[in-house]
Amino acid sequence: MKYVDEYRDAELGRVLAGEIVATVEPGREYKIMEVCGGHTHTIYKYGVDDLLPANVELVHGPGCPVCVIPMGRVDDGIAVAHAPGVIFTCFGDMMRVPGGSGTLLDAKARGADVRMVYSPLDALRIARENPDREVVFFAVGFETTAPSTALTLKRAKAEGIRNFSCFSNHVTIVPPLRALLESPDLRLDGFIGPGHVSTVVGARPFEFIPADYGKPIVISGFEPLDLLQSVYMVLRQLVEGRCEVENQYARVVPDDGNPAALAVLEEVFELRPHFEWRGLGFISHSGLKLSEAYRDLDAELRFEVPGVRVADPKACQCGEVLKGVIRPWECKVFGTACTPERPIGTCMVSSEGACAAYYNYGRFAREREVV
Amino acid sequence: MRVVAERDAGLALCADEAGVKLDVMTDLVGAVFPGDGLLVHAGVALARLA
Amino acid sequence: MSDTSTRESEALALIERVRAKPARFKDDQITMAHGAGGKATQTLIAGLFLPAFGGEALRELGDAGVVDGLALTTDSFVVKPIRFPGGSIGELAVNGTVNDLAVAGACPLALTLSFVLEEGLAADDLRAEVEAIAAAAAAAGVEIVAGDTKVVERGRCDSMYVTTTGLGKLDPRASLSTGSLRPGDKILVSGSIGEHGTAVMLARGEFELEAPVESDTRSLWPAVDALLDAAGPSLRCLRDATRGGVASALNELAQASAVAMVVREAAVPVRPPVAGACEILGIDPMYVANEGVLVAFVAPEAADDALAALSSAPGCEAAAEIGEVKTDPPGMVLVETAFGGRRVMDLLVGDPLPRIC
Repeated sequence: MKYVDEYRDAELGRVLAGEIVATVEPGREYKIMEVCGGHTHTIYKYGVDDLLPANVELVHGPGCPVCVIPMGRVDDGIAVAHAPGVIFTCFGDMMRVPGGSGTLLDAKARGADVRMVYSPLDALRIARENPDREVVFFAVGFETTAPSTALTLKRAKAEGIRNFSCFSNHVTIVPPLRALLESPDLRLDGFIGPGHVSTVVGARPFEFIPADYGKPIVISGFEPLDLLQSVYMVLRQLVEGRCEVENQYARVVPDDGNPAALAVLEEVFELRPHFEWRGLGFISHSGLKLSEAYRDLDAELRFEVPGVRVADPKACQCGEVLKGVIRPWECKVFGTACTPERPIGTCMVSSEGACAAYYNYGRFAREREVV
Repeated sequence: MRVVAERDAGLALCADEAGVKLDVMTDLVGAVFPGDGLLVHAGVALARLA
Repeated sequence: MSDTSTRESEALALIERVRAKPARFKDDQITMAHGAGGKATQTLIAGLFLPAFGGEALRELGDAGVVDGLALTTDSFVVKPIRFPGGSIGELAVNGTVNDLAVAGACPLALTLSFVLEEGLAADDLRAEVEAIAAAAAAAGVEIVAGDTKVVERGRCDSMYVTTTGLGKLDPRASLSTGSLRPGDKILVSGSIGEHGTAVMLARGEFELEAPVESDTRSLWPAVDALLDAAGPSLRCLRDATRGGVASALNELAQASAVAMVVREAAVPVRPPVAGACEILGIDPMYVANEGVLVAFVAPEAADDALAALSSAPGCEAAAEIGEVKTDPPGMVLVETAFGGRRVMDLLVGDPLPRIC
């Protein structure tokens, strides 16, 4: 824990905050987007926002892979969970995501065997321990968790485990970033690049952002000091008129990523022609499905899956929040019809969703003194 | 996390300073030895730590 | 104030009005969330139970109900597995009910004990729990005076469920009430948090995770006794930080007294293995159940004496002052992070769920 404690040093934080204030041009507004659920979480957990001057705003982009799962896919998962003999496993955050008619938690209450796991290896162990049951792993995540799923599928195949399959909702980071940058209603000055995804894909895939769109990007670690330093580095680029990919997390992220991870992704997955992202619509070559060699472990082929597209409720503005066009509290139903207890959209469910994070952690008027 | 012992090919028992232990897939970081520092996420080592 | 912050303040004010509306129980079925001690549980209590049979005593929503100088409380124990590092269901049953009485300011007098046993339960397992109950009751100085036993078919309850009812006599030194907190009151916690819930979660073996953590189950009467002695009428309220953790206890009281609270994160005692295991699972220790920790609210002039007395009680060596009661915003609990920022610490909807990514 000591390694990690250094990076939480509040003293250094105050120093960096001072340098940020000294760097920004007064009267100029800066909007910086981060696209990693882990970063959203750190910002709110440590209150990193509080150390920034009022004219620097951190905007939360589509970095939460749970938040972008369309309602129809949740319904598909629920259908599989209700299939006879199935043990349905997923990460905790998925349990309360609303589908067209309820969540996986509701399905569990109705008798489906839905179990929370922390890693796909847990799901594989459940399969080994329950040879007469069909175990399905509902896989979610960017390139951070896709290698974990891939390695687990490789193990399943090598061990000849037949009662295990994977329902893949893995997505890749570059296509939604490109879609965002193409969007006409976007006003951003720079990006904080995802930390864990970059350990897998490296820094190079993000070069298109400065090259094609003229925005700086700094890849950041997860400690609050990492984020503050990364914000500082983005601001310095803007003030100095530079525009490039910088790697603040170089202690962990190699520029070329992790070749072993990329190779296993190549082996186990292939890109879907297109995939629907909640709030962002269909994006081509952005979703991962199991490759030909692993087709027999694909839950979408093993089970009857309705595959019905469900339109988001009219009131839902998740798309605009995900694109950073509106802040969570600017959504018409934020905190009133859409709350953590009764979420309309996914941004309010996952602890890394911008709306849930703001509602649960950020929901107080900073100008008001706590008296 | 630090590697405590190798369990199997590509699987190691890791622990942090507080004594929290878990099994970690190490296929993505190559051969590991007790004492090696790893960045672990969702049960897989993504990178080596200095 | 800029236009943006004006609009944000308006949005926040609207949210507070929505939150202040009386709870209505509208779910069409019970889910695990209703049992977690968070918002779903609150809605069940405020929206279904209170309107049906809530009288003055129940509406206090204290850990025990007070009637004619006597405190009465009840608890069910459905923990799985029934034995875990540091304790077992039998010990929880005794200490849990003793503690509900203690934090109501009542000296525990007697317990009743009700078993629902699963067909096929090994006699040795039952014997072990009976012995654990006897030992815990002796240690806590309470007598078990009545009981009941039922058996249900295999698979209908995990080994056993235990329900206890406790009777206590209000201590004359105690003038505790959930609505009595005042701005300036200090918040104390009696020991390291998050031990019990973490120990049970790991003992379940669902995650390939190990950590040297044990349940903290113990009687809190000695701690309460010490506090009553040192602070007497300056002691506003006590709360057992069980299901839902310290965070839920603080939120319930902030609402009951319509005050705000600020907690200094760096001051909250958490042992490294608990912090480490919780971090890996993506859970905040502030929401994890304890079985031997209380929170105390003390008038500022008595806080130092109260803390000194508390830390001398058995198991309370790590007791600490963790924050303060404020006026505004009412009902809200805020955390000052070690990093220097602030965040809200609200009730969770249901069970704390791990993050992904």
